[in-house]
Amino acid sequence: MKALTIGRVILGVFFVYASYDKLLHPLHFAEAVANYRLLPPLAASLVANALPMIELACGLLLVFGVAVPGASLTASVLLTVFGAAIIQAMWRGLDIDCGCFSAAAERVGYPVVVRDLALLGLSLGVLIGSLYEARGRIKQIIL
Amino acid sequence: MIPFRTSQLVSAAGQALSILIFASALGLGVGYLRGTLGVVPHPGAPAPRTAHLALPARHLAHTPAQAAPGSPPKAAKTPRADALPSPGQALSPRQAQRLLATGAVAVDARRPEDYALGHLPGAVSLPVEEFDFYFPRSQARLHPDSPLVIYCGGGECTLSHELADALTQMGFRQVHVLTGGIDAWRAAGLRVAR
Repeated sequence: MKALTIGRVILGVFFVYASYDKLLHPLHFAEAVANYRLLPPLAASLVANALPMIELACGLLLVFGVAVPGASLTASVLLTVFGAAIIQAMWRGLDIDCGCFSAAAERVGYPVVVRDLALLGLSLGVLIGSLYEARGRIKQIIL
Repeated sequence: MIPFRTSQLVSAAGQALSILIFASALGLGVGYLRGTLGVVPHPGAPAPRTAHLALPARHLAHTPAQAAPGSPPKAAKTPRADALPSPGQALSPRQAQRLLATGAVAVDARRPEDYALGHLPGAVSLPVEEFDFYFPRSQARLHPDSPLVIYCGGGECTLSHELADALTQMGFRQVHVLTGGIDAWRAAGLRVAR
């Protein structure tokens, strides 16, 4: 299960890195969230304050291998939501900072979508792998 | 064939829900303590690709670059141009208010948290202490030829002068400092945005 370990650590590092700048600059991240024009300003602010901590928690749990099924499921849900938000922004012609890794100040676009999908694939792989590994352990205990 | 049981999926969903609840509560609590909860600096304002697009048309009318090449300088200035303070001049709150009414841009040199608590109407947040980080994000709303009114907290605050120096070095030509900062602005009875 080396592949699972490598996968979850890579995914975890991505999430910790993604949270770092948002935690340092919450107001800029709030602006990035508001610019998607999906949420009213107050809701955008709440999301901007909560989301980086969720990303950090997910990242740390994945890196340290704690509650991996739950963390990878959370990561998959987040990446799905991020992808949908980015695609709708492109669809509506919004030329905005994607808010993915704040310091990089990337604009929404196809490269961001591709990266999001790649991370989503990795996250789902970690989720399925962790569930499969847990089933193996259960079988060992039973037998 | 599914390689795991439904109970495992339910367990993973339970873990995910716990992560969401606890991390959200922690994030919102930290946001409350930092004073960033419920605050969006520039809601719904996607930055345009170029600085020129962000510049009000009336700025362009005052920009020397807009004059036709080779055209002689006008002998008589417009009344509005006469009212404008000379570049680099420190401004009182009332002078700053008049300049802002002509389309100048207010620039807040303080930390984002201070900006969030109250700022000059329409001000751009550009914390001088993290200039390299914030300048690229604020750049779209600034133009080298547009008048800027820089301010900080007031009293002994030096952030506005540091920011004015930094912007002047970067080629901004009409940089003014609001004497007394936002405290003087408030004391003059002028409106503060939140």
